[in-house]
Amino acid sequence: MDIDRRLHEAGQRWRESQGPALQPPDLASLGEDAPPRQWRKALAPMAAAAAVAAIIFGFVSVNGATTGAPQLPAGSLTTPVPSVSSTSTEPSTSAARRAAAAAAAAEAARARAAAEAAVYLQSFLASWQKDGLNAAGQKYLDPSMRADQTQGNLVLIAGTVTSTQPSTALGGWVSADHFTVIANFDLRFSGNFGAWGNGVSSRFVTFVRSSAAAPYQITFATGP
Amino acid sequence: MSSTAKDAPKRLSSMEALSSMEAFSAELDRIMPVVTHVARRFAPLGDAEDVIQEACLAAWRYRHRFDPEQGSFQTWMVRILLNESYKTDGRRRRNGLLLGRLADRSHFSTQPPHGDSDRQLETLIAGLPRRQREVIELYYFVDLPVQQVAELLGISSGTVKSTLADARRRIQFRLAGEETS
Repeated sequence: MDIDRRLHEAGQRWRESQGPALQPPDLASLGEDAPPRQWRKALAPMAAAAAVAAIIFGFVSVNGATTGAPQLPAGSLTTPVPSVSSTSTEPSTSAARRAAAAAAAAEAARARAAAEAAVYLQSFLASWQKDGLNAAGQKYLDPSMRADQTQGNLVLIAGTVTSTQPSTALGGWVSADHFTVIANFDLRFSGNFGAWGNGVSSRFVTFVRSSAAAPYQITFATGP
Repeated sequence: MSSTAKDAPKRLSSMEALSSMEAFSAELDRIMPVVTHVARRFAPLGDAEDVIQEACLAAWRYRHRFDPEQGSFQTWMVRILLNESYKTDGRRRRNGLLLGRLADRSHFSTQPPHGDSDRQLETLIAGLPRRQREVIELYYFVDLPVQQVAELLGISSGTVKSTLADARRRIQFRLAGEETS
């Protein structure tokens, strides 16, 4: 078939396969002179840093005032001095900070895991290409995936992991030793390609390992 | 009926036409089908909506820079969108979440409209040099006319046509190679 016609038809099919157009943002909610979001993005961490600095500074000041106060003679009666900082608000502030720090740490851990997953999947593809699927499967795949011997004769001639993203499907994130990502591949097979397909494809990939030192055992799924 | 990319975009007659939020939003609504297609072709996985939001906000913020004499509102908007897409792609690469040079095709691969034939074509397009890929995506998939592709990329119509021809030749050559191997 003429390549020009083939591209036109592929483009037409792609457009028809797309859902409705996305909606633009509601500009009215931003006000007439709303600053660009890049600015707001830059200001947010600065504001957060300033807030943390203010809390720390306040804490040190109050502590300094307490420790710097003259010592009273032992046994003397004293009236409790009200603290400068509000004890009723401190727990909630600390809790909010702890929650924010925990959320940031979890987010960073997921991003690290997704990046690690990409490298691990790439090494699986390299092993598959070099040694065949059966041999690679023994090393990388969950036993339930290894049992599928019908896929063993698939000859991978090139394979690239184009992207990975943390997924909430199939258990999502349990820990750094048990999580699921959506991975995009570009695979080329010689001859039969089984359920993989030649070219670009996506899979849900679950990574499980018994400890941080153990290798992951991975499971592929086409859908959640 | 929604507008298509090949409909000649109505040129705004003056800068004043964009200064009202209602007029600006109406213009955005009119070109959203094309904007959506461009974002889905060029933005990284899962980022099409965010890229559109960023591009719309940037366009609204810098609306005074739009010059109807230099091209249509659609062309101006799509140019902003392409820049946002590449910036987002760059950020994701730096974050280590995107490997390889291939553009993401998850929107395509999850529901391939024409099976392996289109997948093969998509893979070959993804492997083209950036300029060739841009003209192929914009002309065949977003369905923009040659003149608009030229305005968008800041090149002449003749260059768009020759780039399209080069890209088609390259795809044809690789297709022939794969079929014989």
